[in-house]
Amino acid sequence: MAKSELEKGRFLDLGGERVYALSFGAETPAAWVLLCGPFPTDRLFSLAAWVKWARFLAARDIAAVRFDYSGTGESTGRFPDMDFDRWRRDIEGMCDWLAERTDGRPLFLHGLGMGGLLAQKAFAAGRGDGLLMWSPSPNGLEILKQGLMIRLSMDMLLCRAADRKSANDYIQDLKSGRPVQIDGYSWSGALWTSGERLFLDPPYASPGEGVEEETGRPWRHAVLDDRMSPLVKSQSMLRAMNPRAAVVPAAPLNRDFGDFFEPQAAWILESAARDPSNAKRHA
Amino acid sequence: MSWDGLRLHGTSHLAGPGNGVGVLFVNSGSLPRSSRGDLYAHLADALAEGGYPSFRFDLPGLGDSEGEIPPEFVEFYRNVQEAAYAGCVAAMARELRRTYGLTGLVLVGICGGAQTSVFAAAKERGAGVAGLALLDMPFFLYRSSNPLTGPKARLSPRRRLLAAITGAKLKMRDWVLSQKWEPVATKAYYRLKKMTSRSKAGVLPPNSNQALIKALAGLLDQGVPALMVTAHPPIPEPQTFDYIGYVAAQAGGRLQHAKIRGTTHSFVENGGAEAVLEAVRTWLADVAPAP
Repeated sequence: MAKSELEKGRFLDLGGERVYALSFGAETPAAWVLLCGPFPTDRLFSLAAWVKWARFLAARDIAAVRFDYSGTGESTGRFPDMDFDRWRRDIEGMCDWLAERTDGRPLFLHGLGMGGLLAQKAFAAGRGDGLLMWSPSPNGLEILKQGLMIRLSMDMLLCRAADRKSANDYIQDLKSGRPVQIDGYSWSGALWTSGERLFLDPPYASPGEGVEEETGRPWRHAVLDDRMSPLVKSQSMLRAMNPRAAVVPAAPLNRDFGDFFEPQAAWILESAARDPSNAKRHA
Repeated sequence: MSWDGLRLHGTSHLAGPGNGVGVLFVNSGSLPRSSRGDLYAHLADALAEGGYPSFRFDLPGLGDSEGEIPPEFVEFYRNVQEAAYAGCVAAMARELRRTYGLTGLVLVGICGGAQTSVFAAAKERGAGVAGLALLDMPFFLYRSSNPLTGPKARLSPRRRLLAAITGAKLKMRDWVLSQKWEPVATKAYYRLKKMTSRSKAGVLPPNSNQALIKALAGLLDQGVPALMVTAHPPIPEPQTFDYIGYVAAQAGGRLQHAKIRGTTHSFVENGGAEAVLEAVRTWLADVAPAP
């Protein structure tokens, strides 16, 4: 791979949209990892750390690709037209695009938060040779309910008590097909409906690791706590981001994740080396 | 784009023929180049359609770009308010003008992005900054809730004493905030503050970012047009010093001020995004009309 190709952004035509993908290459990758990011509102906080992880992998001979789901970030598309099904298809489309470029090297799916949940579904549908999940959301509604909390806290700032809606009011709005504005995104009823039928499959629901019985593909589920902020959202981080407060509480912006990243990368390398032909057999 | 040996990632929005003036968006605080609710992406799309090629780049260490940022939020804010990214943005502006054959670039930023835009324009006239759209720019200085952290930890005994007093004041503030009678105390405090600020009208508060105010006033004096856009939530916030009025009075330049009611600092609530677009479009049509 040419030096200029080692880190390259591009737009891929997937499902009628242009999906932004940024690849972090390695000279001779031992494996490839598709990074499936969190829900768009969490992407804001975690992106820099997520990209740091991609470069960490690339420096250890693991090529990585991150992308933005359709209708979010750098990708094209209208957010109101998007739902979890569409974003799962984005993952599958990215996998298919990558599968043509891995030159026989194993491809791992790696998801954070919502990305963990969607990556697991793509994995169950036969994509990838391994699966790594960091704090995968247990189900779609859990993700959306956390988003609704943002709406409610904004209402505290924007509406007088008598004018405020409850979480149930908003849920009813969504179920009735009325859009709800949350953190700059217009949620549709379809987003809510697609969340209602989205669950992490039971074998992957608890922290730990294992191999898929039928195919022997390895998987790992790790939990990230508040100390992993800003990779995950924390209260101290949100307080530090209050623009009106001149006094800023202590909150990490750029943590040294080396101690956490190292064993995660080692797991990918070990899994890739263990028996790549086995991992490929299902394909 | 490369800067100081670092690879910076960005997105360009190019549409029909323009008048040679482009728009460069500067990261809002530590957020990626799309900003909250992808506001920057939507604004850039719309401005490009209107004849202004638009660009969004991640500054070093933010979003997709290479580079390191400080370990703590407060240190990052200090860097921004002390113009640490001005050189990078000025270099970007120069490079974009050269690559796309633009006569000038308008810098747009929210919060810290607005501060960096001012410092970048002031740092290098050769960067060709044709105007500034400054969205909810803070004029005050951010400081740590723990005055004994960060680069100023090695202080003289006198400064340490002052820092300890500040720390005690902050602890007392936290204690007051945890009391049941806090709303009454806060109301009384703001009334008192309003009275004292009246008596000190025209005098900058002690925690003002003097360098920022001076830089903005200087640019206005030189004829660089600027648009200040401020967000005003429907529930009134405590009255603060009128920095925009102060700068306008100091500099006889081309400063316009658009107030957007009912939205918040990030401009994504209650139609804030559409209102920002309208304000910026109208201002651009005045200062750099598209063909």
